[in-house]
Amino acid sequence: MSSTAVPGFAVTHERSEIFYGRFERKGEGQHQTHYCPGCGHGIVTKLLARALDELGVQQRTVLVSPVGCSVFGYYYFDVGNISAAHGRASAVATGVKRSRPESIVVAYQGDGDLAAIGTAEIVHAANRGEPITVIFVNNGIYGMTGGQMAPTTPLGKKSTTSPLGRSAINEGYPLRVCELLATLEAPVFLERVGLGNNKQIMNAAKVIRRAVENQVRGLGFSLVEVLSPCPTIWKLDPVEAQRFVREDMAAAFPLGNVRDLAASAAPRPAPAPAPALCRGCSASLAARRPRNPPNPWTAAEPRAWMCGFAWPVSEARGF
Amino acid sequence: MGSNGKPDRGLVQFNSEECKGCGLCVEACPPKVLHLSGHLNHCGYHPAEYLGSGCTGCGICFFACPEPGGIAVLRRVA
Amino acid sequence: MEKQLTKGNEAIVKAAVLAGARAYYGYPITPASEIAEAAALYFPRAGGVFIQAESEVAAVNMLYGSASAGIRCMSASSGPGISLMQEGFSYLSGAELPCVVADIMRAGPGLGNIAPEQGDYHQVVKGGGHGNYRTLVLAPASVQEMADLTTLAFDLADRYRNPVVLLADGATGQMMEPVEFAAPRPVPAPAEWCVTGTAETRHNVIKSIFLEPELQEKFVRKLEAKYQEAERTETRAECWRTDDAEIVLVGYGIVGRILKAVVEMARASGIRAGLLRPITLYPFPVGQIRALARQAKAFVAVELSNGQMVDDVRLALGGSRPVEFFGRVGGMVPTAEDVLEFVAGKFGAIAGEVLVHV
Repeated sequence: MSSTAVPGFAVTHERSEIFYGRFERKGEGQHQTHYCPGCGHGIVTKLLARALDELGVQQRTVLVSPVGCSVFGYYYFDVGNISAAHGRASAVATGVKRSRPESIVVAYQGDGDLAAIGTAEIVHAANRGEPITVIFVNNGIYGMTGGQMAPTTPLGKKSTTSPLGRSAINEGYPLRVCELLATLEAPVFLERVGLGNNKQIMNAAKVIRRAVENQVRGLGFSLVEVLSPCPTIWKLDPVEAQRFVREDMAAAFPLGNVRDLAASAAPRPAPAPAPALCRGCSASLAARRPRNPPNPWTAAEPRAWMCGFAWPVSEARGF
Repeated sequence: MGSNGKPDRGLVQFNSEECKGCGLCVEACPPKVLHLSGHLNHCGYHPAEYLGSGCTGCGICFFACPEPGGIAVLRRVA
Repeated sequence: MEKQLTKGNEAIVKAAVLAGARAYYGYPITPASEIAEAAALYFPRAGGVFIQAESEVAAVNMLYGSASAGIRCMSASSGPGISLMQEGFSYLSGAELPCVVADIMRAGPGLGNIAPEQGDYHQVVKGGGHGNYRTLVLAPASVQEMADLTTLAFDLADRYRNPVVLLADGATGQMMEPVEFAAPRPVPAPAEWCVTGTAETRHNVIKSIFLEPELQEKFVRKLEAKYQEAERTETRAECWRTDDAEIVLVGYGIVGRILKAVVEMARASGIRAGLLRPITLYPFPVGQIRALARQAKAFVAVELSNGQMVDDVRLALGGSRPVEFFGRVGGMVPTAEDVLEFVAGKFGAIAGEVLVHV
């Protein structure tokens, strides 16, 4: 909350300015999130907001929201917002960051979004080292659609589509995204955190901040996987759900850092200013063009007279 | 006033209408000075409440709370 | 700029860069791969972005990102890849994002083959993705048009805040003809609705979700209004020797080229034929077709498909004139003689018809 002033006290923790004052939700929902009581998304949302606040990047941030329980990120974060198709947030984030390299692009995805339908996109965004920040919320289940099995559902766990409990033979093993991405050369930062107790939550705050900070510093691909409780679908009260994260989820998905090259990674060079395009050769210049110009596909150095077409001006002057 | 007689180092404020009664702050609070109140807010949840004394201002409840503005924490400066 | 001999596929890329496009994301597929290859060469040299995406699904979503960020962007594929992009088209239309995608059609269904066909008309012109949206569709029939219609496509995309598809075929994509390219245009500034990671655009949201049915309906009506505006103002077609035509041939793309020869040959043998070559497939040149129906006795739709565009010709005419159909599929491209034989065969029956007032 925005706190009530009390003489003799100073506020140390309150509602972040990163959040909209009022949420564009129906009726009375405008003052609270749509997340269930005890939902991990609520905590991650707060930690991400705090990181953006502390790093002072609110004006530059573009948040790409997924499909899943966190589809409504754009209700809450007072930053540039883009809502992506299911699984595609990393590809959308790639398009945004490549187009606006100065922006801070955060892709926020759940376990279905990132590790099922979006597996190709996250692997390749990571492999290309897109300098984005990915917040991967792993609660081991599909919440929004009512409790179907996720790629990260632990073995033995029942869901609406694994009513007999997840079996390795039929459903395969839970997917460990951090370890999977660690086989790639490009990613700069990969860490798995949890929300299973106070210490884990405070650590998660630091790690999420680091993942955003890496992008502010112009380093490469950073991903934080957050083991997160889903009390409603797991049918546990929030405190029991927290224990499930601490004990069962952390057993299937070891907490800790898997890749940290932030200390040694060099900031990417700023993109060179776009060249002006020449307007094509005049007749007299065209006459000086060689009769058999080299093939542009194989020539060692493409030259302006190859196209009469708008080659960058600095090279057009070359002949 | 804390249990040792000294003035509380901290103070915690709740937004009762935003609170969803999840109880994570109660669980998280190290000096155990929070509880879920007996009354209901207009959403039908039992909002969390400060017992009135003993807050150290550590701020852990703030991080445990899934709502952006459910909790504010203050620290004594005077 | 003076003319240069250019391959159809490459002409698209050059025209795009000249029109201020600065992002290309695509996946190789025959017969469109040269577009990605040309883009790999030209987009970065012009200060733009090129990514060979991991799939067409990824490519169309990268378009979604760049379009949201206010950059003119494009992709290209063929039938199977366009099928993968359909979800993306729906999202792009629903989020009102501009972009240009070229579909260089090949034979289908399934893997088919790499020879030219026009079997993607339904999926591209009628909206092969989910929901009530359309993409504007342009159909080039020459390499010059591959260039000119690319330029037009970017303008239409920005004007209507909608994806525009350039529907070509393997023949038009691979042929080489002289092209005069337009002068380079500056990269346009991002529109005020874009999300660019700046203070000014912080409050913008790009989304296609409207939870409340009343709001979703209102939004779909808004899209409808855009499309109706396009139907009123953006139809384009080439009419070739139609002033006195009794029988009008209708065909687009490479078929339009063939039909020009058919018209000449038909006229030489006494059949007063003319050609209406749609250049916009959506919006379909309904007005132009109806105008020709005043003196034409019959229409013949010719396609490299088993009958997709012909439905739109029939709809436009509303039953007022007979519409015959001639189609080849599988990558078979008819000769002008093949088509003439069909037309002549039908014309005998039509010649004596009394014209019904339209």
